[in-house]
Amino acid sequence: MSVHDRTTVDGWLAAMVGPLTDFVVEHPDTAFIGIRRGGVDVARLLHRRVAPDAPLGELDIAFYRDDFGTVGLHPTVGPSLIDFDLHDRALILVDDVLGTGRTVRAALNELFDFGRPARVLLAVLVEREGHELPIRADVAGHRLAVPADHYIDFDAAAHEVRIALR
Amino acid sequence: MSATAQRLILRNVIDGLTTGPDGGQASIDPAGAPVELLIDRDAPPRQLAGSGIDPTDLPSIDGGGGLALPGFTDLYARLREPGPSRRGTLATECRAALAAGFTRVCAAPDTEPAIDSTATVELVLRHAAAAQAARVLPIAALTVGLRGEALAELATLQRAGCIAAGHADVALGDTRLLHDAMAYAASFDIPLILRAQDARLGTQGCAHAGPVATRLGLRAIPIAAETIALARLIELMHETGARVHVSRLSSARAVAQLAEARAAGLPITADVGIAHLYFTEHDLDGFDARFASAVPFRAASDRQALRRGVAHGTIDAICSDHAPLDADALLAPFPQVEPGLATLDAFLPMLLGLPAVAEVPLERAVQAVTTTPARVLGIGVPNDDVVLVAPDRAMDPDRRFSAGANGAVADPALTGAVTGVLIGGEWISLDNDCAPR
Amino acid sequence: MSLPHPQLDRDGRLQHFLDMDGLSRETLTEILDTAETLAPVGERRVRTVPLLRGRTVANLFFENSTRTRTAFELAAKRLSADVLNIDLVSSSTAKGESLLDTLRVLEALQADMFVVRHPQSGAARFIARHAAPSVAVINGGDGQHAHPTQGLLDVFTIRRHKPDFTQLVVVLIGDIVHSRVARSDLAALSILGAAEIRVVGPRTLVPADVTALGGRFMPNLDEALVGADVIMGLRLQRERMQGAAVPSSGEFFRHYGLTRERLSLAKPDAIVMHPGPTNRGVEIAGDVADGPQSVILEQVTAGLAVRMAVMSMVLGNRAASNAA
Repeated sequence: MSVHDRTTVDGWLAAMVGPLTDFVVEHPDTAFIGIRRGGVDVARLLHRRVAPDAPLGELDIAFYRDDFGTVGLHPTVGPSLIDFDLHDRALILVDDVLGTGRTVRAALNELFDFGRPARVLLAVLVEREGHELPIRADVAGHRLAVPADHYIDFDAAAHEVRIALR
Repeated sequence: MSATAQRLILRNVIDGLTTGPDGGQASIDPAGAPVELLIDRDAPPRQLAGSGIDPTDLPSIDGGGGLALPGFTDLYARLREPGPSRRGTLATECRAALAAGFTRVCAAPDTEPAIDSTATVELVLRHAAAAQAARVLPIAALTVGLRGEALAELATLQRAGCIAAGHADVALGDTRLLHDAMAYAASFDIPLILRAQDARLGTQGCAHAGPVATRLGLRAIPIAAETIALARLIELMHETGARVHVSRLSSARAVAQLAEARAAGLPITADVGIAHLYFTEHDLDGFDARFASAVPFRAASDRQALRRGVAHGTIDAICSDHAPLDADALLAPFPQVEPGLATLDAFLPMLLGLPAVAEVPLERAVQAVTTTPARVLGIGVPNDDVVLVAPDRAMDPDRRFSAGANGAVADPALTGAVTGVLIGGEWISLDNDCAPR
Repeated sequence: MSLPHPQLDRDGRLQHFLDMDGLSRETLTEILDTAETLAPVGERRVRTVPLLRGRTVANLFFENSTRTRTAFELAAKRLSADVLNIDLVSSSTAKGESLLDTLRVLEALQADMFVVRHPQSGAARFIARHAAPSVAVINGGDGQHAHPTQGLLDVFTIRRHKPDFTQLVVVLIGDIVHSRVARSDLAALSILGAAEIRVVGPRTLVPADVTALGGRFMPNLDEALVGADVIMGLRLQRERMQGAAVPSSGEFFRHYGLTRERLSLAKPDAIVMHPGPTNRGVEIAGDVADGPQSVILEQVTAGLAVRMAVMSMVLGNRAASNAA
């Protein structure tokens, strides 16, 4: 197992602030949306550093996953919390780790059932190799290659990223 | 095998036949030493030793070490003929009865058409004789077509061969009619075999009025449906002097009423279906259609009272209450299922299981299917009807004689099988084959 | 019980939804939580989620009910399923074709799920036992036995107002004996640990052994209402009554109708419920049904979320078992 400590993670977040701030300046109505669960923590961190007055929402993708047919219904934390209108708005969609791309695919499908955003920017803390769909991060704190049998986990409380065998 | 002989020797059997000094069964010891028994059409069975009879020239049968019991008499079985053959025929059901140990069976009157004409009685007796199995004693329908409107020709039916009159599971609503029927039957000394069943309270439900029916939302049959009707029968017995055999009791309160009526000196007797000594309302929980029954399975306390009733003699007899049905009959939601259990194929193991399961001594259980049914019907016990039983033989699910598909409910751990039957001195073997030879 | 309950698999997961038998508090809570998560879907621009896309749900109604059938249809559509409505009331089944034969014919629909309403108790379980094994059965009401989705939506509604069941005094009034809704409510409340469930009505409408259902019989409505947190009125099931259960609606209302005066005997924040359709002036006074303590309309919307939850959980469990 390897651990990227608080200092390292802070460095990754810092690297994201610049491009995201540029985006917010260009789109003043930008809202942040974090994908449960890891993306919510990262969204909060970025939201606080980039645009603390912007709207912030949470997306639960349990009902949009593509594995219902094999795994059944995933346990839900609760309904998605988006208390602002998405229509014609710019969104920063945030997740902690972008891997296969399936989570983001589900998130996009769900977002469009809420309304029609003007623009969606995908921001992730860590982007790993292993894309199974044509989805790439617009802004990533760090990119790495990790064997498929390892998982990457962002521990928000400890402010660390751990990489370990499944 | 042998032609009907007046006397024969049963070798190598355990004695469950010879009566003891009190007229009841002497103690039956299934593990006792085998003996030789002298079977005589004109005298009660005796042990050969000490009988003073010379066995040479007498035909003999090797009983294979089995337990010899008197042939049983069934006070109530639905033999389904005349009627649609998919539910059974006299051929199949009389063989099933024989394989259960019954040499005589009272046939329920609710055939199609009902047993309310001499033509039907003759048909039944003819087909039963052709079956060459258990003898049939038809129960005449008390009213024409069992419609509860007009009295059937009871005396004529008795002369044609009916042993008693009854009303099957059709409740008689008209008290006036019942009064007259009982008085009429009393004139000819015709025994009445009647269920205690109120016409309204007892006919709209499909399960005992207890916690199971309450939970399952099933229309219920309260105990009062039985006790009200029983009280009515008892009162009418006081009025008419009729002899009544109350058929297939289900509740503790009815057993108590019965005891009271008997103590008051009324000529009242009663029986219980073998299944009601085993099952309760809980067996139909989960909508188990196998336990839909015309006589409801009630609470455990009722079953306990029925068991005690049999053990103490308050309930005189045990019948099969046999109701064969085709497989489709069970394939519907519970309230729409046709009720009934085909009990004959498991009857013997269930009877032999009573000492352990229901605290009914074996002698009493045997008496309840032999001497007391005969007494109820006012007939004797044939000296040469003998049933040979292997009490420890495991139940064989393939050994089925009844056409009924609705039989498989007994505990498979119960044991007992009839290996052969002597009926009127004629030997029918039931071993090694699924049909009597 | 001699026969295993077909609704739970070996791991205790729902494969059908037939009644409350054998359901744990955890399972019930999971269904309610899932329903809470699905509830807001109806408020969005696109009122569907794609969970059951490509699946077919067939409504098999052997008994008339536009309300319930529409509710299930809407729930299925909100899950993106295809819906077939089969009217079996005036069909060959009514003409004597056996239920079993009807099921064989319906197999041609290749439905993933049957929602069933039938006039006989035990019919849903029968259908679950005899339909093709790949079909999930949801009980939309069978005779007098169970109406489990109604039971669910009732406790869902209660939970939104009063989250701790272990503190609640619940009063059920009216026709319990003929009511599958009452049986499912009683079962759900018992499983969730309701502190006390009082059952009030004339003895002809309350089963003698109501404790078998988890309730406590109280003959007097006024006494029963003291300290009540939840009051549930039940519809008089005239069509199921035989004999002289209740002489008249007027007499029933005078002694068991929930009026404003009677309601004031309960706790001031007590909620008033009714599964509908409400007979105003029989079970409930009009002003109570429309009053501030009434949550009757909420019950209707709750029905949608709860049915969506049950349908997706059952089909999800089956998909997971098949893949395993």
